Amino acid sequence: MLFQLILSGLATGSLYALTALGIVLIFNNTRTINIAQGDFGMFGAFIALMALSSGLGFGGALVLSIVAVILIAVLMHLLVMRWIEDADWLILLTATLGVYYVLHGVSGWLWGRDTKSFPDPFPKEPIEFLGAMISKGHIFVMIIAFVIGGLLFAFLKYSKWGTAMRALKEDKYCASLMGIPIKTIIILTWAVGGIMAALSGFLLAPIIWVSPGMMDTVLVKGYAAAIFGGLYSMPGAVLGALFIGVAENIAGGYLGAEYKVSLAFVMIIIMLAIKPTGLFGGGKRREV
Amino acid sequence: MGVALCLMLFVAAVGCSSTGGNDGNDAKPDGDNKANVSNAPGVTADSILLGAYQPMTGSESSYFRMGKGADAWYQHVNENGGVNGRKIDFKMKDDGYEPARTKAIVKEFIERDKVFAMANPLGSAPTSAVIDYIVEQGVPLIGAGTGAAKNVNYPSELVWPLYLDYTREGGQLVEMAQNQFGAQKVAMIYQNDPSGQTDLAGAEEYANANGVEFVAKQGYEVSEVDIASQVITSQQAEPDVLILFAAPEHLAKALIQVQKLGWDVPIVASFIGLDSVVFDLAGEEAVNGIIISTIFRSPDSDSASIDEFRKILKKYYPKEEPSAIHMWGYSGAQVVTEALERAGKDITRENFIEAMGSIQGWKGSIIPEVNLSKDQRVMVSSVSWMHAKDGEFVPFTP
Repeated sequence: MLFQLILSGLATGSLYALTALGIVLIFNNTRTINIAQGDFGMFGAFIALMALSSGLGFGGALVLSIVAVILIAVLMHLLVMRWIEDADWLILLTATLGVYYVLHGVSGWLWGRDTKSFPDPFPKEPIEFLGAMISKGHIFVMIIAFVIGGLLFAFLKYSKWGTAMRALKEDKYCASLMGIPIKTIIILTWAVGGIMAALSGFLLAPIIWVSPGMMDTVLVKGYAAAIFGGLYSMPGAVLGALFIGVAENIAGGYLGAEYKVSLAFVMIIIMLAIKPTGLFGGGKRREV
Repeated sequence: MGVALCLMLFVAAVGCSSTGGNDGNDAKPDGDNKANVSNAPGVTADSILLGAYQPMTGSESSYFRMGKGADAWYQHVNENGGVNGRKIDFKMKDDGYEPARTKAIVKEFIERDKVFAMANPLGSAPTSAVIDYIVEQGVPLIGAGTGAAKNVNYPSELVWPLYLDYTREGGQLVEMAQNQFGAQKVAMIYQNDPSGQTDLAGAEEYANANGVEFVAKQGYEVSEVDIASQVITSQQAEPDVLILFAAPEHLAKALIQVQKLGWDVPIVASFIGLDSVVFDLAGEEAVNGIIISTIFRSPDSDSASIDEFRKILKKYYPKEEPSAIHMWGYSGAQVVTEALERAGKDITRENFIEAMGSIQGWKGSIIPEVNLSKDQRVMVSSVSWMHAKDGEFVPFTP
């Protein structure tokens, strides 16, 4: 049973990972804890659903959803965040909370508040893996989550734009003196954050279905994962997400379902008490 | 990163709360200055104000169909002249199935809006949180969609529940597992709140008395993304039958998980999950074959009253597909208007309660026969069965 619980936990954890990656990316470059990150994905899922029901294929729906979410993310930056970008982190967070409520309200108004099904692009049949069962769809989602995480990592590490984004994280003013177009890089950050959100919404939709509140729990787990990993670290966020998925399943399986939701968080609190910078958090990065 | 800990707790608190949005159904502020011809709160010369809390948003929002069903009936009554010349002013507010929000909403309904009665609200956990207050304030609570023992057996003539105590239903689920599938060992997955706990208690009581062994009991929280560990643990316990007490969304999640594990087990489920949306969410293959209890006839069945229900619902909520949950609200609303009618023009809360108790052998609603008295205040007191076949729920005779 242990291996089955771990495998199912990894599958669930990989769903949290994409949200966690988007959170870390945006926080790294803009100091913004983006509460609306989950709802970007929710909006994308609704748009994909509309596209699918109007006869578009999965590929077309995904592209449309990504474009729409990039627009939403960039607009959020241009209309809201840009004007307060030098404010305290708590003010930035509060602004994103406002956007979260706006997106919740608008989606409920546009598409209704009840849960809608979303066609599954992946086969549902289970396959056996080392004595445990897992659905093919979940394996696809896990693979895709890792591929996307890897691509994002490579983009940041090896591409010119990615290097510029990392430079911005290190020292915004120094980067600007070096001729890095800060404004463009920040817009790019929101756009890439939007892509992560759209992918996460699209992959989650067949599993948790589509409603204005669909990402609420995922967002909380995504944040916990990001913080577990150190809030600055991409691999840390992925590991954090997988850890939460597995820990809650094992807690649920062995201690009882009532511990499932809380135990993962208790373990993170213990971990932060021991290592306040998170698993992969480096030296002090907090601004004064 | 020193802020990480408090940040996480803050985010957890924010993320767990649902939206504060509304669907435009919130009650108007108490600015109504029409003459109040009756002494009863909420009653004016031409209207009677009723209030309901409903999960319009959140993970239990499929239950908002109940509110829509009730509203459709009240709109129909209003269009046909109202009750004794008064229109029903039925107001619903969103509590997202969160008891803390329910408390604030009910206080507003009673103290600010001054409702005549709370009618057709939904939820065991929400109702458990407010029932003491409602009764203390002397406000009738009619047709609430809850089977938690505390709510259904509440010792007050002000409380008239829609359906039976989940303790009885829980026993009937195990009885079905035993009689239909010869189960000697059962596992149960239930919603971990007053409704699920009550149903589980009833199921265990029956099992203990009838030689059925409970090999696994797994609760789930409504906010959980998936309920994989509960299903896996149940599977490991090797029950003969899996019993599911879950709302439609979670019933669908459980059925998908059973399918994913390739687990071939007979499933008996509670009527709280009976809704066609389960097929949409889980896919026909995962649902087909389950046996599920019901407190009403099928929304597709051939009867004049059900036919009328479908027409009225479609008229006022054209986008809704008629379902059992719509019928919860619709039927309760029919009983409410019958009692209002019987209470007469000079309505008070007292004579309204008298009128509720006088509804005997009444066949004017979609409930085959309503038999109420001050000692028997539950509108629907027995369950029957359906099973999932070829993508729909059809009547099932054991």
